[in-house]
Amino acid sequence: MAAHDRAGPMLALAGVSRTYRMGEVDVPVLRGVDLSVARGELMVIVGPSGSGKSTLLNIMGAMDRASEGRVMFRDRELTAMSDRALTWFRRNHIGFIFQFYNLVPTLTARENVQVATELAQKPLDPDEALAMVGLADRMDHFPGQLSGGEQQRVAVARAIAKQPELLLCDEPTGALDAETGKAILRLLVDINARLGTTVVAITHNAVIERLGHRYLRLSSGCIVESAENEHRAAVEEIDW
Amino acid sequence: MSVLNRKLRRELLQHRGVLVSIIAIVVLGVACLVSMTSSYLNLLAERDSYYRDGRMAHFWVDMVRMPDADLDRLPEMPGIEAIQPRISYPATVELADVIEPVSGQVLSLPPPEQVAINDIVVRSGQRPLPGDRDSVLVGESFAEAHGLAVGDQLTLEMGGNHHELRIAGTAISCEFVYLMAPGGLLPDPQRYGLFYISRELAEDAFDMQGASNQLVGRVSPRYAEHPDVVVDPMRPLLSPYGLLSVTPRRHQPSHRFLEDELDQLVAFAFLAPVLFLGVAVLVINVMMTRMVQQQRSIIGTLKALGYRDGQVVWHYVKFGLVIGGVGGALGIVVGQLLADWLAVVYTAYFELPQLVSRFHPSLAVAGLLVSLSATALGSGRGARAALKLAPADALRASPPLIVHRVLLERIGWLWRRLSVNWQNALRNLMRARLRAVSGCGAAATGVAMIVLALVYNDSLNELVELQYERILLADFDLMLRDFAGPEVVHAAAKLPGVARAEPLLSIPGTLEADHRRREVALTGLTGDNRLTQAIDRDGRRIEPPKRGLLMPRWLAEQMDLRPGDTVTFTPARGERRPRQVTIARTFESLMGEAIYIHRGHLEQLLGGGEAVSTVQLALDRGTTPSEVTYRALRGLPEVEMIGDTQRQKELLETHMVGAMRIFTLMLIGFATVIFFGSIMTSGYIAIGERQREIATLRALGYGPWAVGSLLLREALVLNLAGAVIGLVLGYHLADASLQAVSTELVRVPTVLHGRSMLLAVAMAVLLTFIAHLLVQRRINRMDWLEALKIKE
Ligand SMILES: Nc1ncnc2c1ncn2[C@@H]1O[C@H](COP(=O)(O)OP(=O)(O)O)[C@@H](O)[C@H]1O
Ligand SMILES: [Mg+2]
Repeated sequence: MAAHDRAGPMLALAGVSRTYRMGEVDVPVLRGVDLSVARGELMVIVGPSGSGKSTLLNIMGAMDRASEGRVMFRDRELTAMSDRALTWFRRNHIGFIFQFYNLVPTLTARENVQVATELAQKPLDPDEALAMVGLADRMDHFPGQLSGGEQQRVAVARAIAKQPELLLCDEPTGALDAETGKAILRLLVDINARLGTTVVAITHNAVIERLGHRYLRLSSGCIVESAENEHRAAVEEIDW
Repeated sequence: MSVLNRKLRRELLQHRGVLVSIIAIVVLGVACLVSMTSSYLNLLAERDSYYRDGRMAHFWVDMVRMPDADLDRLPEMPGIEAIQPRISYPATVELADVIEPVSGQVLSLPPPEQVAINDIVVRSGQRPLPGDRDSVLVGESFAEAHGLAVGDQLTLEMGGNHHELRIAGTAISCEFVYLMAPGGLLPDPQRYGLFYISRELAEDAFDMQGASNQLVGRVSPRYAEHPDVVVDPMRPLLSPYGLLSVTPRRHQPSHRFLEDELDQLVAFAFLAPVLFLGVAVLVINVMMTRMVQQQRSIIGTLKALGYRDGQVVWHYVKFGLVIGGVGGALGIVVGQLLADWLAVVYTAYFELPQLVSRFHPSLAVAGLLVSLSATALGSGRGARAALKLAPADALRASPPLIVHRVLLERIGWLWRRLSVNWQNALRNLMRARLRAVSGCGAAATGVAMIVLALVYNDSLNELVELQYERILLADFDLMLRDFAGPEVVHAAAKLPGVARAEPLLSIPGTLEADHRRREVALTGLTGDNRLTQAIDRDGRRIEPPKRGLLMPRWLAEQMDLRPGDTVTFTPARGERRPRQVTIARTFESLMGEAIYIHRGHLEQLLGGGEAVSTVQLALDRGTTPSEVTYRALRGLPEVEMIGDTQRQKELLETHMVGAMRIFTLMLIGFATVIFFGSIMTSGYIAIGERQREIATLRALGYGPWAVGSLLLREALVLNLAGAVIGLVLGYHLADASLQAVSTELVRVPTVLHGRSMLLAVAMAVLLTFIAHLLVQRRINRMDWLEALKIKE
């Protein structure tokens, strides 16, 4: 846990609620969520499907706005920022990994990484990022020529190539079989440990919570449990 | 190149079939804009420089005779810059080996030291020198039509005498860019020409020593558009010389034809691009809307990565801009080639010194800008959806399609009668409403173009039919030098091959009512006239009233006259004294500006006595004039000019058939491009969108053609609906443009035959099938097993 430095929260949510308007009624999806993410930690949020995980992650990543409550990124209040400022914020601070990879099918692996690096201020070299995820020899392949696991690696390379401070992962293993999923998790743990990138991963798969420094349980839009792992499991130790 | 541009390039290549078809539409729009506008500018520039260099007259005055010495004595008229006298007469021409009647206009040349108005351009040889009584300068087109060269001989019959003349050269003139025989509709250099002779020869031949019968004049620039303002005060001064008519430039036939052509170019330069680019906007909009839907999650990812909304929309707008850029650039090239070709066509049509097709850089820029803005509009409207998409929403799976019952389903009895496949097709159409509207709009535009061509064909055929089968029944009009008695008619009736001869009394003159003045001709008829009749637009014969005038309604309206009003008519032949006549009735005329009157009444107006100005001849039914007939006609001493109706009809038909064939083929080509563009775009989109459905059907055992027939059904429904709209649209478009091109002289009736409508619809169906084959090819090649695995 040497790289794990807990000098003040990086991201803090206070009383965050999110409701969707469905016709005449407001449907609450998040109800008064309080949480904070420390710099350098790996946090796992688990919850059943429909519990509001993606909504929460989107709000944490400045993709969506809270209906109520405050979101602070260090000393900046995201909830008070304009759309333009949020875009700028995402560009410079956040990396995303999605369940379905969301690669551009008409771009090669390297080019998909470039989509991110072209925007960033001090990006990694795309080739280097791809090498880090073990795809040094597949850089000129198109997504259609890669397996699901390989595609997700490209997505990981795309996310880390920006050198984000916060890496948000929405069901990163959701579309993968157990072996491939574990390889991705290993990558995430590794990135957290080696690069010091703060990682928040959400999943419906409860065993993954053992990999985090900390995990939260979300149920029907409320955080019902928050705990630290005294002994983090290694990826090899878990199975599903 | 940025990666997003690389994505753009690959996706453009991926969709190249659709792109090519959309680009073709844009190319046509820009090509029409560039070629028409360029032709307009070329023609206008050429005309203006020709008019300027030749000092084209602003007005022409025809008189019986004015001593040239008197012209110098006319007081200085404000606004008039120069007036020059000349001698102008019709003449008949005799050429070795030509048996048909040939005639022309003879003009005296101005003295060489004068800065001449309507100055000629000598194209070969030289002008006859002053005092040369043996030479003639021949109009270039006439010389070419007859293969005449400097040194050849021809005989002009002038003032009743034959003059054998040597051709000194050939020339063209800015006042005869479009040369027509009086009463003709088209130039006919085989039968009508222009002849310039020395002043001395003209004075001798027409007995005009020291006198002239025509003035040409120029006014100061501020009156150039309205020379009447300064010319009208001259009328009283000129009337002692037998003033016949004053023709301002805007009524001069050659100028008017040029002007009409220029107007039409401007109209088409506007209309054609609007139609084509309008369709392009619709189709691109459909394509982009679809693309943005399909790339929802990519848009979400880009936004999540920190791309600004503007950057994302710009990326999609660039698809349109590439289409606009490529289409615009190709359109400019095609347009320039078309303009070059049109310059050649115009050179055959108008006699101009040197019509060159120039490249107009500003027009190229305009073409590119128009094309870019149209395509940016189309893609921008589609890409707008990308802007509205919130990043979090874009990443979620698109909301499930909520299946409402479509409107038609509520009409139970009808719906139940349809097969499942038709029900499916209709449901799909109703759901993709934008696409349905755009497909329908494209089909409507395509069919409208076909209908436009067909209406033009039908209408012009109808016009020729009415004109030559109902109105102009005479084969020859013998225009007499002086009024004659009935014996000329009897003599003409006995000529070989002639079945019927009728007298006609046609008197040119001026009609005046409350200071509104117009040069007209009154045609005197009786109930016995068969070869000339007043026929209205519906082909009905109208008897001339016993007293008073029977007038075309447009002419009456132009002069603000109603039946019962009294007008003053001053004949330009015979005793030129103003007479009062009433308007007896008006009618809807088809062609020409003839005003009819009972011959008895007209003779009375002229001062009594039976008078004939023209003898009309009908040949034995179904025969064409023989050499004997021609010789006999040319032998008649009283005849000044011979009008050959069959020849006019022939000319009109050959000219029209050729022009209409090109026009029709062009419009059908245009329609094809539009149909292909629209059907391929929506077909390819449907395949992309319904890959899974198609794959499932294939797995269920549907063959590729059975799957294709589902899409074909949709295309057929759309295109048939579009065809119906297109029929109406095309008819109205044709009607409006025919009204616009209808001059006072020629009113073209708008006609669309039932079989033409069927033809248009049949072509729409045929084009739909052909275009569908390309869509079918893609279905045949689709890897449906792969498509089944795709996760959505
Ligand atoms: N844009 C939306 N409009 C309405 N309801 C939504 C929208 N997005 C999510 N929801 C609803 O909010 C709830 C939580 O969704 P989500 O955050 O995706 O949950 P999870 O990721 O935990 O499965 C679900 O019931 C979902 O239907
Ligand atoms: Mg989720």
